[in-house]
Amino acid sequence: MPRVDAERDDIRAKAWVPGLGHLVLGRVGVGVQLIMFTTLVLAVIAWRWDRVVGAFSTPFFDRWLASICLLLVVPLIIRFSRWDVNRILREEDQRYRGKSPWKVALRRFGANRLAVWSIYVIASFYVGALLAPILAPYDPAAIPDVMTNRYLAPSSVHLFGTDEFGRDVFSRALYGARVSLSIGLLAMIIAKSIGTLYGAVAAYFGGIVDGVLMRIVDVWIAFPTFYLMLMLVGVFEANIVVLVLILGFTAWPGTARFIRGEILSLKNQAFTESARAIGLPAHQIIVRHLIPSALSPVLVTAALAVAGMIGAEASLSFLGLGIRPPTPSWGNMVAGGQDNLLNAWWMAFFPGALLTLTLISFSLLADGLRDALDPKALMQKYV
Amino acid sequence: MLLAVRDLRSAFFLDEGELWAVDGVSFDVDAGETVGLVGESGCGKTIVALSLLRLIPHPGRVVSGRIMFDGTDLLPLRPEPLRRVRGAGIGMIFQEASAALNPVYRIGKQIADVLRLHQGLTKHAADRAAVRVLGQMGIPEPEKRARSYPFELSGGMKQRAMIAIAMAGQPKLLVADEPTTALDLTVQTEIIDLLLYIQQQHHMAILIISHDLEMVAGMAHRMMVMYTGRIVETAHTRDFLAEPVHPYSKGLLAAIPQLGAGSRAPLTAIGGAVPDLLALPEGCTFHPRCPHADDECLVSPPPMKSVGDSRACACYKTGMRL
Amino acid sequence: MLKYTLKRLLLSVPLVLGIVTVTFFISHLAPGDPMDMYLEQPRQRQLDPEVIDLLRKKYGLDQPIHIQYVTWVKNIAKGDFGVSFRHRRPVRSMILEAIPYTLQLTILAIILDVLIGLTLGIISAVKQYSALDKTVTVGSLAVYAIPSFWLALMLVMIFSVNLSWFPTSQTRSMDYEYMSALGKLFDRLWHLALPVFVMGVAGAASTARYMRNRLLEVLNEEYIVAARARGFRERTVIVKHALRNALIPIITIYGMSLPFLLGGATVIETIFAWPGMGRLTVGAVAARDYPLIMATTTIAALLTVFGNLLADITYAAVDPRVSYDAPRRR
Repeated sequence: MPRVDAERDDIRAKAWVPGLGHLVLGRVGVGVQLIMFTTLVLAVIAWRWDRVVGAFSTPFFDRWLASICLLLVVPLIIRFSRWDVNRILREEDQRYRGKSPWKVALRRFGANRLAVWSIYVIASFYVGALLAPILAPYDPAAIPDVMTNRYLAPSSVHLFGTDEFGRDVFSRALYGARVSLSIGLLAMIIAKSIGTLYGAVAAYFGGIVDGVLMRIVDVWIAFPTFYLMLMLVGVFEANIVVLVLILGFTAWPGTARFIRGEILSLKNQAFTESARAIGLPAHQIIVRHLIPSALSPVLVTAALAVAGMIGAEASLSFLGLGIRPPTPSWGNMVAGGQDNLLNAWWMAFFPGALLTLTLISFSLLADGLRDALDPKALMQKYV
Repeated sequence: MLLAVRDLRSAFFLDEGELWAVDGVSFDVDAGETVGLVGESGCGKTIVALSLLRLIPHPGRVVSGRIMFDGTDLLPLRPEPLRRVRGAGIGMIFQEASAALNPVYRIGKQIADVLRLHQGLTKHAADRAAVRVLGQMGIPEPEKRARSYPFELSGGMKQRAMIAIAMAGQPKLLVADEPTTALDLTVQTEIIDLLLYIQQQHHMAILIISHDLEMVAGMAHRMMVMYTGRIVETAHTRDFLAEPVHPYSKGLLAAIPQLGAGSRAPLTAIGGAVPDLLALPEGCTFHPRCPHADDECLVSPPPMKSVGDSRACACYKTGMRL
Repeated sequence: MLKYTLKRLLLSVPLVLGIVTVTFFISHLAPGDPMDMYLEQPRQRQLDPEVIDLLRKKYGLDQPIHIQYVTWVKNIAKGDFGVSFRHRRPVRSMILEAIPYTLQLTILAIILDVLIGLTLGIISAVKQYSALDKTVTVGSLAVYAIPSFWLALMLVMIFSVNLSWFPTSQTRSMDYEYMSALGKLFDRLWHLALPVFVMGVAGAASTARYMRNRLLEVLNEEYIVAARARGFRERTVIVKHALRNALIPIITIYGMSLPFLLGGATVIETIFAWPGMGRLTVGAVAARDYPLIMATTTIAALLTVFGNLLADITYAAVDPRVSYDAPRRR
């Protein structure tokens, strides 16, 4: 049914309240989510108002960032709500139901509940890490009266209990998330960049260069990745930056091989020939066609790579060879709980559970991406 | 009547909706007869073939209809009796022999397995019989070829091997789905000659399915034309060639050199493209491409009507001279 | 087949040389020279500069780097990996003592992986869309994602600390020497149970997923439809026609899983105080014991190359297409 203009304006006006416009339009799912999200953000701002404002009187960059991000969310969410309502109205108008590959992929992804939930989990963990200074109930490093505060079981006061120094495990886990999650993401970006560049160079030059570069990849892949990481942390003194570099530098060869293969196969395809015939330079064609054809596998492997990197960092830190205490990381927190399994199970349990949840979410995300971006071509074969 | 298919409907149940690949198909095949089924790719020909033996892969299945073979309806049949019809009653050969042959077993073993299954031969006897069947398919050095793996054979050779496997079950009806499409022209002729030869030897019926109207017309006694899951015209081959009735058949025929009405007539392609089976046009599904369509054609799909001696056509406009 | 084997063997020679080179150069990337690390070892601090020079000479560290490299390659060819900084023992004998323990773990873990992984993968593919299939698909993904150190600790907490069903660590009981032969075997298995389970279950999860997808892929192949069209029993179709084709690539997967198993063994061995290669490496890294780090890393890479070689040759033996053509991978 077509809407009259007054009705549209009314809906647009309602969209100033995030989610309301969507509810009126019958998009209950999105509407409720927007309302809940907005309420949550406002509640956090109200609850921690003193910290949000107080951050600006401290010299700490991370506190400024957390406060600014939190405050920026409110206008952004209103902007999104209005934009999305306008989009829906526009599409109703055109009676146009998009069937572009991206929309199909997005719809398929949205239908995969586990994948959508994994996005929520990952997003909330990253947000929690970013907002750690605002959300954390206690100072993660402060050691109050040790004798009375240590080994406290989880309760409403200490959500995840306290450790052997009386520090709040929940607050430490929030700060640990920053280390673990950012290392994973950065290392993945480094690995993918090196791999892409390396593979592209090998494929572009071909011949002997390609041969030599690929033999190096063969050698690199022959090492068990974790052993290579161990060797490198043994050689270089590991701090956060070095660890990111080590993780990134050990994990690139798979990407290099993949990108090289993609480019070589593009090089040999008919459209490359024809494009070259009308005078387009080869690298331009390759870049233009490489991006769509490689995007789906790169996205999927990127999600898996983040999980792999987070897991590797956690394992190294668990072994005492990665991030060292007192800087909290999920890995070294589990290691700290190892000796207290009998009397304080929560010390090892909660950081490990968060880590596990993160890794599972990234795997589910990768799985969802794969299914959404690469629908099985079953039908093509028979119909 | 060897095979009588009545109102067969098969669909795929996809996320995007129901796809009716076969929508109310009826036809007969007599013993020893060759019947052709032609249509553009994507019209549901292959699904008809797979429906006969209930082989449609998930998420598709035969939804309704009757498939009477040798007096039994195959659709309600339980797996075990159905299995005895597969291979022994109705044999199948496929378009891509390299895909339809199991890559990890030797040719001889693949034939012998069928011989043991349907003829009850011992392993030893089956091995020897397999070589004999290969020889009957015109394969030189059958002993040597029996020990070959599929990837060691040429395309035509693989096709012969696949026919040999199908013939090992001694079927009464052979369903040949695009048996020559993947082959070179000279090999195509050889394979067709082989099919006609074994048909004579075994008094076997053939249902030949192809987009290649010319090839089918050269083989089949009767022709059926299929479009978007429905049969739109059936006729004896000579009648069909003399004067196709359905506008789509006319279009198909006019697109072939030599065979069309009058060799002077210019070659014409049918305008437009086969519609998406998920978004079929209302009424007669051919109307967007049909030069004679009018309002009548938009309402409901035309039923099959008899238009002469054992021929029928599904078109509202067949009464008139077009 | 013999020719193929020889060819693959020959191809792995440059790979081995590459591995040896990479370990050498990585260890020389370190700021300072290994002698500084040697001096960092406990009880080494107050050495006379003259003694230090002597030690340098003894370990060949006074030579230019290319001479050191040639010596390193030569020594490895002779099976000599030098002397551990920390333990003052030949690295070779330390590794030879450790390898059997690691192999025990990895081999048992692979067996567990095969048994559970293949079974679940096959059932799940054959019963696609069933509740069991969904459980296996999601469950295997979750199990695979659990970090092994945490899983190990949780299992120790539940089954060793709280229930006392299994030992928390070590390879054998204190009173092992006084047990009967059967008792000894049982005691060994009893100590192996948890570490093998933790190592095997992650592998089983990934095997199950891979096997399921692979079998589903094969079940969609035309030769499966063709086999059904010929009237074979569904059992025959799956076991004879689908499974054989689906299992062949699994061989390569197992060849490739060796580096992950070895990597995983480092953590598991450390947690369970298992005296294998992994714990040796972790200890060496923590103590910056250069010769030992270089040796274990090299050995782990060589084991991986060997595993891949074995997988490739097995593959060629099972799949007639491989040795016929050039190798399919790469």
